[in-house]
Amino acid sequence: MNVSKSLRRFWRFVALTSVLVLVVAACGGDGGTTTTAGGVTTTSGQSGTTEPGGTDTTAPGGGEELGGEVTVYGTWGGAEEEAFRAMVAPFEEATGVEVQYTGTRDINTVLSAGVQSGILPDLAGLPGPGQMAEWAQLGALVDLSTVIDYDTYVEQTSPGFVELGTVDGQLVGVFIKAAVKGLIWYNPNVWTGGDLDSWDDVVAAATAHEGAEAGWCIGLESGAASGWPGTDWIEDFVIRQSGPEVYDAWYQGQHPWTSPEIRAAFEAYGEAVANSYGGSQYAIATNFGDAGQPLFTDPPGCLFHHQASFMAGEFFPNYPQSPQPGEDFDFFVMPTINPDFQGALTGAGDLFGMFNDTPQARALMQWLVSPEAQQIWVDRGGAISGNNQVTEYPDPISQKSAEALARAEVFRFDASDLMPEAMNAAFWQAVLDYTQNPGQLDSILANLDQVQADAYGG
Amino acid sequence: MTTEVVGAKRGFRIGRWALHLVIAIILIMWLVPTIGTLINSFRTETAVRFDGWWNALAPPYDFTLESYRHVLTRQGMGDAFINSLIITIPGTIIPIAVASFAAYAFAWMKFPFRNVLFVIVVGLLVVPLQMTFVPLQILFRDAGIAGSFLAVWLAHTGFGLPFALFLLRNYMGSLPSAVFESAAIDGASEMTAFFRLALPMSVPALASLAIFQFLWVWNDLLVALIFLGPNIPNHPMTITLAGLVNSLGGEWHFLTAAAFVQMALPVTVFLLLQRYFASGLLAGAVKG
Amino acid sequence: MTEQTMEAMPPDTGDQPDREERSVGTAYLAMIGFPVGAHRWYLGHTTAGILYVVTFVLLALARFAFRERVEADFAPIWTVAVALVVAQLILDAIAIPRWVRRDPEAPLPAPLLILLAVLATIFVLPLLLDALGAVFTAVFGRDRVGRQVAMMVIAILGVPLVLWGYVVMVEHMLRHLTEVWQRRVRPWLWLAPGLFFLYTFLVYPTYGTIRRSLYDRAGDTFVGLENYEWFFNSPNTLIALRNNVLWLVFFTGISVVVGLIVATLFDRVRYENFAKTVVFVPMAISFVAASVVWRFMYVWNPPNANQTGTLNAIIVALGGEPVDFISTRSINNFALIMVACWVWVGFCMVILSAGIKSIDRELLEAARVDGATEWQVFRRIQLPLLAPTIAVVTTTMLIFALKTFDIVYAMTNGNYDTNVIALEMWSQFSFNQYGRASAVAVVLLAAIVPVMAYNIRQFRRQEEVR
Repeated sequence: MNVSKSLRRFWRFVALTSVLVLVVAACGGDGGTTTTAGGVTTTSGQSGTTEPGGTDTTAPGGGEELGGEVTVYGTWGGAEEEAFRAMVAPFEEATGVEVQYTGTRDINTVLSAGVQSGILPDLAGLPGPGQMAEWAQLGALVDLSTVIDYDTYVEQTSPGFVELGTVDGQLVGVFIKAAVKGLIWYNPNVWTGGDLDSWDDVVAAATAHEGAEAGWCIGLESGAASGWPGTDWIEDFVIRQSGPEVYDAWYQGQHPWTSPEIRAAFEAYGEAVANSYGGSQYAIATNFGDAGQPLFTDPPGCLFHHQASFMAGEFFPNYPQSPQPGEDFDFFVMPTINPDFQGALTGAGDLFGMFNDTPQARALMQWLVSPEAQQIWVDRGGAISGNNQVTEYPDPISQKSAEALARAEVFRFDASDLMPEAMNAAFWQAVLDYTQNPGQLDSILANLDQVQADAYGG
Repeated sequence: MTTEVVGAKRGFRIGRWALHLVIAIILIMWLVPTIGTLINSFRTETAVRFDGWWNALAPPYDFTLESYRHVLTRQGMGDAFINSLIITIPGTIIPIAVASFAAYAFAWMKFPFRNVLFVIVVGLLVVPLQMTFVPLQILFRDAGIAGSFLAVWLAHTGFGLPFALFLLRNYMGSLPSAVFESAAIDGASEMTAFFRLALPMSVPALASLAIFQFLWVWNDLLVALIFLGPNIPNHPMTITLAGLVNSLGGEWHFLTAAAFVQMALPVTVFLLLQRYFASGLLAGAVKG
Repeated sequence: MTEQTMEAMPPDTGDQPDREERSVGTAYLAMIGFPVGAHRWYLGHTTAGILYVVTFVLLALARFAFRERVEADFAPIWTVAVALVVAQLILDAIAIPRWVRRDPEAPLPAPLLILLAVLATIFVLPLLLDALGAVFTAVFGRDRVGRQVAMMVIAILGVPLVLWGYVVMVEHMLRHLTEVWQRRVRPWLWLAPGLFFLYTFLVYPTYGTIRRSLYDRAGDTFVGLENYEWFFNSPNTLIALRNNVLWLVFFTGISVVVGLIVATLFDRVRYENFAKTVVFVPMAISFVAASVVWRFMYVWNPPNANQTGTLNAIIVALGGEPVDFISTRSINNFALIMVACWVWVGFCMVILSAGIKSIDRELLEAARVDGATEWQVFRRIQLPLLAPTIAVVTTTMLIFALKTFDIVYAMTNGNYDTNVIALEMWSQFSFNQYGRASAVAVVLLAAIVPVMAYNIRQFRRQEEVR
């Protein structure tokens, strides 16, 4: 009796202990299985799990059955994500590779943690050139000149973009999609003067704002990124007033914010704010996507709206007045201000880099930079390809922006995106502060100088 | 005496009306933002962005299920929902299980530095999770479990423990000591006291804890994003829904519908746990 | 009960040492399952101890080797381990009869159990996973999902079971100790799983954070307190500090007071469940969604335009001027605090309500019968009895006020003087200023010391009362 009871207890104990170890091991086992299934590669960066080369780089996707999968992180969500998925669909079909995509706006945090721990996606959209350079120096990014056909890429891409993706002579970032900034949108039913090619004319028209309540519509609200539309304004003034040299020195942290050049740009922007619909309060409180709405109201609120090329895709057509491209909205490129710097243009684009060198990742990268792939995205509207072989656009407005990009004599990337993150954030905030309190320009610029002294370097 | 009772009743009645009125006001204050969003979730993008939600209540009624259709048919939504469950259920049960033993020890066992240690434990509530991501990810990598659900369960257990311990220790500590003393006299071991007394008597605290831990894990975006990392097939619903918004912050109107989709399960869990919040077990245990 | 009978049982060997006289070292060995009683029969203390430890290490290595699939390299270790395991099994076999005889001195045959567990892990677990996986695959129709649900089921059933097994084992082992030592050792063994998690997931990273806060941006140069100097001299962080004080006072105050009011009032009506659900719902809304919800409340439109924000529509309807709640510096912090209160009152309510429910109903009824007004019932009975719960809620809310981050981040990103400390830390992180971010985190940690000191006093009082 006693013995049987003890035995029962004994076996109960054995059972329990086994369960304990079982679960611990279950968990361990799980790690193992998902590692292979989920494609988490614990080898960091270029430690190289496969031999490079051997893939036919001329045919998109290598043209061969590869299988497996490739993981991609980006910032694209919503319609952008759908466009990206459409873009990779033919690749998946041709190669049998499954493209696993996640879009997150926290990409900076995720990839920073990833670079330090080595747990990274195969391909990823990069937060900006500054971050990219840092990761490239840490050896986390794969040199793409061995992955894609370098000569073709250089040939098909604007030199500015190639240069931006190059760190220490290695191509680590490529552009898949671009946007032209510094476009001045108008409603042809209100502003009947057509495209303007002199800044003085623009200012005169905006000051007279005939038929509209004000000259400009400005909207700076963008959630956590509020302020960026204002930085675009200032960048467009800097490059047109003071030229690319000042512009470059400025974003590289070698040109002070308190200098007359930058101050002039802020002041020119301040004048636009003063002559804007609803004044500074409207600019601060209104979402950048909604801000152009008074172009179409009756009576019209403003004549012009300064914003990038993507307005035509996602934003204008969803206004209550459902404006149509060409009929109800059109644009001209912000004209030259200082004749010494003729044809200057700013723009932006999505940098893409490679963390894990796998055959699947290579094949996908080759496909993404190809004009065939980029045409798919372009066809969905609102986007401009980074590849100059893509010339067919679905609507006159996109066509016009792409032509503007191709025609640009001086092209510069969005300066705030090129600045270190701390400088960029301070710039955004400064724009908001200046819009709200134009009188405090001195202290705002002095503060930016302080951040500049601190943010660059080590 | 009779008049007194009548007077008390009248006062009582006025009091009741005032009570209902106050509650109604509070409920309206709480409901307005939610209802506004609920109404907007049935409207078109243009209406959400450019028109007040209350205007939808006047004719012409122009409601649409487009937002819900868009959210629910998003690529990978089904998997993401299951992943969310797979993450959340163990992510709720494990920390509560671990915390309840430790909470009992903190509440009813005597040992040196008990209070100081406990306060340090609670102080860990303030540790910013962002600081832990990189060291933990390296740990998970070395253990070979980076990107697995296990990593996320463990992380949520670690992060959820301080609050769980805090709440449970305080609840267990407030149980009447007479119960435990008499149990000890009856020869009950610590194990018996824990399983037969402390745990059943703490059901209301366990239920509150369960609902909050469930919520936090269910709504968590960052921990999943960091620790599941590039293991995209394991991503939960929060990550999928965050991807509704484009890189410029546009298309946020879909978040109205997403909010209600995301909320449905936790609110159901809350309703299911309701009866455990008001548990009569305490009185029963003392008497029994 | 069982312990009692065990104690009462006469020892089966006459020469057993008195348990009270045993040294701490022997007691410890007995506790970890070392066959203290058996050693006299077959081996010396030291030899058995070494054997024991070595076997553990080798088994651990074997497990590792198995996982990493590099068995070949571990061949010699495997041989030795197998030999040792056999030796241990023989020892266990000798000890088992004594254990079965319920000799309180008998050691647990731990190595045997561990071996069995390892075998079970290797052979049974995949089978179990496969079997369960197959069941769930049939249910969900997809292989991957089926396996993962199976894993989840094993985890949610297994972990509580394991913890239960752990406590059972601990209590078994503790029987080898004297009463005094049992009382000394038991709490730590009960705490061990919790402390393990806390150490790994919070303490260990925190230690790294404190260290990191003394280094520069790149992390290789020691800079002393320079990062802290930056913190206390940067205008941005000083604004954040000020705002955190606002949050501490108003967010904590409002949500606890309103939570208490709501919990007490709802307790007195029949539609309590409905009312509680209404107040709870915002808790279930993620912060990104909450910022969308409140955008519909706070949005500003020009005075002559169609107002789309609820509050401004009301203001304009009443003949006022629309207010920008987000960028107007005197009110934006409060606007954000209101959003947080809207979310967190539900939290306070749930916990306080559980506290109210645990108060004996008869006590309240008795007071009412004695002619106490509802206010008196609340003030004289409920409130004093709720004090510990209120303290818990207040402490938690103070900590959440300090950690406030997501709502501010989503709604203003700290613009217009709404920055808070945790957001500043996040920003420094995204600037790759890990040294500064760490310093901010350490300041946050230091800021809760007073809250914690108050809590210690609270616990002492609770201890005295009961």
